[in-house]
Amino acid sequence: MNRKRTIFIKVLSSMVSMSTIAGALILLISIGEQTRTVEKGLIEENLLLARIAARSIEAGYLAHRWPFEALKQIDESENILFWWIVKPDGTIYLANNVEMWGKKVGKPPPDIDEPVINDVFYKKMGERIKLIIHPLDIKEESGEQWMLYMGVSLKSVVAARNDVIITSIGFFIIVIIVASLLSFYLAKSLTKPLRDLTEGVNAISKGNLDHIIEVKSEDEIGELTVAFNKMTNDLKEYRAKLEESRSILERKVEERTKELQSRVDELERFHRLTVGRELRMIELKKKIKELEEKLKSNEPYKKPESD
Amino acid sequence: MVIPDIRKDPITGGYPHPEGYGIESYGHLGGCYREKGRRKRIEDKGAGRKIEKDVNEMDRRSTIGICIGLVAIILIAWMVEMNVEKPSVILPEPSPEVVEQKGTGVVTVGYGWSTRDEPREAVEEAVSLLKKGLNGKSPDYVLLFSTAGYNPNEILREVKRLLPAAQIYGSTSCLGVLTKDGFHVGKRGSLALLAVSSSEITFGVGGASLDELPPREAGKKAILSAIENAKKDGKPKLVLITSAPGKEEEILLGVEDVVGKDVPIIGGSSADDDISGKWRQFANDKVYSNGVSLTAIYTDLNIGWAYEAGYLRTENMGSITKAEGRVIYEINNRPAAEVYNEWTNGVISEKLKTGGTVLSETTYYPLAKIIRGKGGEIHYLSIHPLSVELPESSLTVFANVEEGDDILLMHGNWELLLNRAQATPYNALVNGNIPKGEGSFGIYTFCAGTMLAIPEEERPKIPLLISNSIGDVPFIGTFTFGEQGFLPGVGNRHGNLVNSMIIFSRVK
Repeated sequence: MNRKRTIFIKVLSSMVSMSTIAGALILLISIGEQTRTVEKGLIEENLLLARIAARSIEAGYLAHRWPFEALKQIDESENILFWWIVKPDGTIYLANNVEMWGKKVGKPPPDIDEPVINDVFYKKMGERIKLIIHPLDIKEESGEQWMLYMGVSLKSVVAARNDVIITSIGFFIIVIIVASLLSFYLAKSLTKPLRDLTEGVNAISKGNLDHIIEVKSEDEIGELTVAFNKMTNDLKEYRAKLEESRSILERKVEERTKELQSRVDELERFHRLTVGRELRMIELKKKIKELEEKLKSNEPYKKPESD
Repeated sequence: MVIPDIRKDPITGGYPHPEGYGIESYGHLGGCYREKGRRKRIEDKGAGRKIEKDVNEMDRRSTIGICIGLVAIILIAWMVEMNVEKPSVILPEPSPEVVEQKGTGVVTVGYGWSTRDEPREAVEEAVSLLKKGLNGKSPDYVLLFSTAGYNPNEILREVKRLLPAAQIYGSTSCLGVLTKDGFHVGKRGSLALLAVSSSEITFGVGGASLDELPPREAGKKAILSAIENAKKDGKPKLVLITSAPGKEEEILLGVEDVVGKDVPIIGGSSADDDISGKWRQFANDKVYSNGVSLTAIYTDLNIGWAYEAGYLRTENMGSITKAEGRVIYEINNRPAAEVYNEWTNGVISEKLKTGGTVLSETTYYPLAKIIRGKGGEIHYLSIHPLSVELPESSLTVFANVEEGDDILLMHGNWELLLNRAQATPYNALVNGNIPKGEGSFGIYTFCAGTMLAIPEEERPKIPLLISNSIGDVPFIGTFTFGEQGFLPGVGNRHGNLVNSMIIFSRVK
């Protein structure tokens, strides 16, 4: 029982593991792609917003009227954390958050002609954000440019990624269940013939060479089953021949034994004759010897009482 | 490992169990058997060498290996996906405002504010802040702006107790007060103080009750009292004014009766939070509920000031053909409210049927009196429509009007109104020929109606925009129900929806 479970689990776990690995990789790649797509869209959208804001600010500067309405709308955008109008020395001249007015950015704005996007960690919010730095057509007497800084939250990207993760995990679980079921049936289809073969071996080990395993497939296991049945049949024939040979041998041995027995009997009879004669001879020799001794001792001759 | 002495099955070639049950055949490699419940495999390594392995242990290790591999792959992929990058720009973080009040040349100025609920604690907190800027000097003059949530008598008493040598001028403000540090709004109230100590500026504060005297007489009495308190001869260089809303024009006439029409009289009508009449005026040791408080200022220092509405003109204009006091009955011989409604494309359509207050609807659409100066220059003095009166469909406004006045419709939005906080102080500096950052202190007046029209979350930008214009200069600000100011070539006027800035230079 343990053997069957082990083989089954081995096949099943291998299949499920492979399915899980493949599914996890697909899941991660899919999440990564989705995240990159959402992030790219978010950046493009907010870059456009930064361009519009920059044009509004430049026009407002010329008209001595800051475009607070437009900037408020930007501020209310879901993903915008802040906007700062930064002077060349890094001083924040205007900002959505009044606490930032007059503060200085960590390092002076870069000398750029086109917008740049940086990855920064915004400590205040405790999150990684995208910082769009957009040059403004507002210049100091030295020719240095003002900049628009716009902080873009990636929370929507994270939210989108979480949605994708939840959806993908759901899909992943379904795939794993289906893969497990398929693996189960595959493992079963592989182990069933093996179990049948094992039973066959056990039957043969007990001497039952009449055990035939049903051939259910035409694959390698089916071929193995056919070969096994043939082997069993060959063994059966071999055993039958062996039995026949043994019975012939036994008969021959019996005949030979009988023949040998008769010879032994003859020999015994002969032996008995030979021994009797020898004993008679010995006895006669003893009498002769006694007679000779008597003769030698000159004892009067006595006629033997009997012969 | 020593191989158990087991005999191969003559038929299968496998190894039988030592105890005689179960056979697993692995062909020429060897076989498996069970020992104490564990499956063991014997592998034939050739040359008579055989190795025994625990199959269960091998399975367990394989499973652990697969799991670790799986976790490792997921972690690596996750790390790649996280795409963690180091910050390339360090962003500043907000830090608590440090009140560092710099020296102001020949003028020593201190300012303070508080939003504490208890009047006594609020005054003490504001005075303690204020004293940091005075460097131990005793102030000659204190500006006091407070919301109407506090007991005004208690406030004044406390200020007087803590700054006994100073003359006190001030009024109540709508909703909050302003200082260089911000727009201060408290749960119960807020107040701001600005104190000045300077041998170069002489202040004289005077007041009068409108309950006791006609407005013009009250104006006269107040300015005479102020001049007397200043202990100076001649006309002041500038007059600060605050009064209860309603009779500002007459009060201005009374002041002009004394100082003439060429002395700027700048200020704003005192206010409360809900137009319920809780406004007060502070004049030294007196609190008026319906009075006027004035400061006569004598100095050789430059004073810059600006008095601006900041709205945009429209093409809708006409003449007032019937009016009385602050009621416009007819424009172009038609009911005034109907004409106004047409000009504004129906912003008061509902109120034309029911009558009533139209303050909020008309904030972005004030009327403006067209005033021509002596040199032909044109000024637009904005007037805020207050209510529609039925059945005559007249418009009550916050300033006096007369038959024959030319008026036009102006328009704006909160963005325009907010931008005034930068433009008007800037113009004040220009008018006073005072470089940015070279002022000693400023006094800012902002129409309460326009402040309320600005979104609440945008209002804290007002003081910052002022600072952007005037530089690192202390100032105090109030929100008023009507503003008074000087129109060059015209004289002093009372208008609505206006803001004004007065700024004093640091040095001669």
